[in-house]
Amino acid sequence: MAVPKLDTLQSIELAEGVQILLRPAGPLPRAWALLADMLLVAVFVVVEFLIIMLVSQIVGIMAGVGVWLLLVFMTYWGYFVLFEVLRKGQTPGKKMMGLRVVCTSGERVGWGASFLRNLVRFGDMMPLLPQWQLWVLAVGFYFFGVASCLITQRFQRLGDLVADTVVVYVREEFLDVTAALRASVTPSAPPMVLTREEQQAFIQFSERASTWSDSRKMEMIEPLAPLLGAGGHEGVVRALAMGMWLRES
Amino acid sequence: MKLEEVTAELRPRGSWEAVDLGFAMTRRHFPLLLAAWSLTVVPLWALLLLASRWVPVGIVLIVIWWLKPVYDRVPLFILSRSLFGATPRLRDVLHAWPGMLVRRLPWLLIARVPWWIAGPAFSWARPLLLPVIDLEGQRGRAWKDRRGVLLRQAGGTAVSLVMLCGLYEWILVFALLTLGSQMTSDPLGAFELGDAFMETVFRNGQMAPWLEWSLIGGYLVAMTLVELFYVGGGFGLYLNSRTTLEGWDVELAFRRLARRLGKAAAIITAAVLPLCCAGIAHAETPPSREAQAIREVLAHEDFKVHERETGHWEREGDDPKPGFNAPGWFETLGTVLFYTVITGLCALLAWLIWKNREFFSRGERANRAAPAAPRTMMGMDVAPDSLPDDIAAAARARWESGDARGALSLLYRGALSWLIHAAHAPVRDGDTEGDCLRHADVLAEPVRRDYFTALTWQWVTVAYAERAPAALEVERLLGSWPFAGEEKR
Repeated sequence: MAVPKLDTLQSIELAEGVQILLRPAGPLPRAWALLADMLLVAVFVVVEFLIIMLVSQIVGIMAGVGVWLLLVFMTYWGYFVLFEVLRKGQTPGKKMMGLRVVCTSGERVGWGASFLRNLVRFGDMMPLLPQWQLWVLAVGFYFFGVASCLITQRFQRLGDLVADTVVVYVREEFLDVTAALRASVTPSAPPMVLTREEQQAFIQFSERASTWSDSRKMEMIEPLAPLLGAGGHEGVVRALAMGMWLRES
Repeated sequence: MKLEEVTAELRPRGSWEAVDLGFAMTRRHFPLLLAAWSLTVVPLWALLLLASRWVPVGIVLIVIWWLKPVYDRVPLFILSRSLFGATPRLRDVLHAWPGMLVRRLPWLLIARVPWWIAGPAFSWARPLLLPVIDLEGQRGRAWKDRRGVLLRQAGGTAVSLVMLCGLYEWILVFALLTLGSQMTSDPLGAFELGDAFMETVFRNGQMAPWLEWSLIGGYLVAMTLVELFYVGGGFGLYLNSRTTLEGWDVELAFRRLARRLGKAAAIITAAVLPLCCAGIAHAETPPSREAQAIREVLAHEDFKVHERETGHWEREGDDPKPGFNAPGWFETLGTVLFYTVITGLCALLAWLIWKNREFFSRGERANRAAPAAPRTMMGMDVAPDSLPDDIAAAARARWESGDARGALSLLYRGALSWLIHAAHAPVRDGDTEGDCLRHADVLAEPVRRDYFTALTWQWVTVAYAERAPAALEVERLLGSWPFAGEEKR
């Protein structure tokens, strides 16, 4: 086939030929993470405002507002940078959604990369509303961020592109594992050498068997009747036995 | 449906990842999707908007919104066919479009009614459930069962997709409008869209036609962009549910294996196959000559496998310096150092602010010594002795000789001079026109304040924008000089 099959996984080759898979996360979970983070930051900003209001009784209101604006900027930037570097790439929002920032090489994200990707966040937020009061609340439309996220193969926003980072899923792949196989099935070796993909298919078949109806299982193994030496119910049992054998070996 | 020709990697995924795959599918076919959309949906919109000559435009918009499930069929048609390697051409889409417009239309439109009226037809998960109607053609009992299964499997993510897409559609409208106004008009005009919008929506309730039509246009563009990815994401979810529930990935791998076996069988002939299966029987036959030879070669010194085992001792019991070698130690130190530096910087900043607090709280402390009155402001001499006695008359003389700039300059200098020396405003030599205006706001009485404001505005226009002042305005300023007699006190 000329066109490679579409997949969101990205494989990375590390030293000594070791391959790992990155699972880049798309805009949907990232948007929820961002909303949660923005909520938290807003809480921070309001608390800072209250404290500054108290302090400005002493130093004057102009100084208070000035310091507050500085603090707001530092909070917006520092929140993401500090959490990303010190909490292994996870802000609270990302943690909630099971996401993590890593370098495209799969390494942990460092100070430099995190600084950069969060500085460019202001570019991702463009276009901003003309009302500067909303800039203080860092409310942007994220037009460029979302567009870049949808265009690039690894769902990277502009900041990610500049800092060479990517947001990935932390949690292991979802699998509907219900290995409640009948005790009557005794594992047996497959009658011929199988490739890795084929072995994996048998293992998957035995693991997920209980989620399919019997007729569906028979339908699935139908093309394999010559290999299994039987079709129908007997064939299903043999395929399950092979899957269990492969899983244990 | 030919499962072998599927163009995306089938594998049970988490539902977020399924949406991502759907987005990737939309991205891959985006030019085709956009072209098909603009040839099918956009003409329909044009027709509907044409009707707004007779029908209120609000009703037209509601109809456009209501017909969304019909538009969704266009991207779904393309995505579902290209998934199985049969990417349709534009002609195919156009050919199928009349069918899409009418097929089960009444049902589709009723299903759009919120669930608390019409029952949970789509129940907030339209992109996930539309394939069931459109691709599987399910109805009645089968549809209800199918819906239940799919909603259990991926309903939550589908709802979150719908919510975020709905939110982003509106965000996109304003993003596009802001972007458009920032790209097209002068920098000052950029503020006008925002303000005009707030003004009309929150105060008057009556929109200017240009704003109304750019809103409608923005909404339609936003709907196009969002809807393509919305359908893609939903289709990804649907695909993943079926892959998981029906084991498409396993079936596909089995079919590939069967095809490989088929090829092998053609070569080996069916009679050999049972022999292969009975692999254990081989071990019992006596070793042949070749096997004997191989064994002899392998027994040679060159083929001896050398192995080296390495190990290292670890001290048991307590470490003499607990924690010193722990990798977390340096990290903790680093963190502590970092916070110390940050705290130090904050303290330094706070100290600097405290030390220079007068700078911020200007005008709030009465006991502060008034600064010496400046002689020059903004490069102009404002000392009383540099000005003529009758400023208004001198300015009029200049005005009549055609020197508008000179006349206004003289008036403004006079007004500033009055502000500094008669009203004793705490003006400093670094202040701008705006600062002076603020001082005048605080100190002067209404007549003089209004005059000062008007004069400042005229002067700024002449001095910086280099625009000729309105003759009427200058006449008014010359005629009503309110600072006479006081400037040399």
